[in-house]
Amino acid sequence: MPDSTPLAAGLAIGLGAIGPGIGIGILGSKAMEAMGRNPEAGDTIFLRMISGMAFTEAIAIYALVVAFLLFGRIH
Amino acid sequence: MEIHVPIQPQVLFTPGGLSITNTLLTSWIAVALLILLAFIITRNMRLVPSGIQNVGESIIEVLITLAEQTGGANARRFLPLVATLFLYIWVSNWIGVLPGVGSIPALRSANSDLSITAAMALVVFFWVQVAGLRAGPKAYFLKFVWPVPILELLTEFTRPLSLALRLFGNILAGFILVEVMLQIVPIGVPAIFLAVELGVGLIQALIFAMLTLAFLSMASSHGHAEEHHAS
Repeated sequence: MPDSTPLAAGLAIGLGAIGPGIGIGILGSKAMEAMGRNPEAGDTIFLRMISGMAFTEAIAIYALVVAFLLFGRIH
Repeated sequence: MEIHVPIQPQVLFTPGGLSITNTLLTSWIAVALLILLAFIITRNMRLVPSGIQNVGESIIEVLITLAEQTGGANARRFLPLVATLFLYIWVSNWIGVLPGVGSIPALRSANSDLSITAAMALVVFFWVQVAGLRAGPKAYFLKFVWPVPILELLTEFTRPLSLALRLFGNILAGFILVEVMLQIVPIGVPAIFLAVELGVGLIQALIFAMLTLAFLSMASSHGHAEEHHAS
C-alpha cells in the first residue's frame, strides 16, 4: 500500500485551517462592526477581538502541529 | 529539494547528563538581556524618573493598565508573573528574528522548542492551582464535583496545554516558513516573513500573558461573574 503520509500531512493542515479561518473572519467582521458603531470603545473592542482570535487560531495551530509530526515521518 | 523539518532542537553539549540545546542557549541570552536592562534601568533610581528609567516606568504603566483592563481591579497582584512572562517571551521571540539565529546551528528561537513553552505552561498551571486554593480551599475542591465533574478537570489541563502549543506552533511555524522561503526565493522574500515574525512574536507574547492573567483571575474569583473569556 503506497505511503499516504504526505497526503495526510497536507490534509491535516488544509482541512484543519478551514474552521479557524472562518471563525477569525467572523470575529474580525463583528469587531469592525462594533468599532464602527462605537468608535470610543475601539481600544477595548480591539483587545477582546485579539484575545478571541488567539483561541481560534490555536485550533489551527493544533492542526499545524499534527501536520508537522506527520511531515517528519515521511519515509 | 530536501526540506528538513527540525522539530526537536539540536543538543549542543551534555554536561553531566543534562542536555544543553541551542534553544536553551538562546533563551539564556534573552534572560541575560532582560537582567542587564533591569540593572541599567534601576541603577541610580530617582523618585522623578528621567532617561531610561522613564522608558521602563512607561512600559510598566502600560502593562498595569492592560492588566487592570483584562483582569479587573485586583489583577495587579498577578502582575509580576504575568509581566515577566510577557517580557521574556517577547524578547526571546524578537531575538529569534536576528540574523544568525536559526541559520547558525548553535542558536535557535527559544520558543520553537516545545520543552521551553511547556515549562512555562507548567509554571502557569501551578500558580493557577495556588490562586484557586488561596481563594477558598472548599470551593476549589467543590468545583471538581458539582456541575460537571470531568469538565472542570479537563479544562484545568487543556488550558496550560493550549498555552504551550499555541506559542510553540506559532514560533515554529514562523521559523520553518522563513527556512522554506530561503530555499525557494533566497533574496528579498524571506525578509517579509521575518517582518511578520516580529509582529507574531509580540502578539503571541501578549496573548500568553493575557491568557495567564485571565486564568489566574478566574481561578481566584470562581463563583463571581465570569470574565469575558470562556474556556
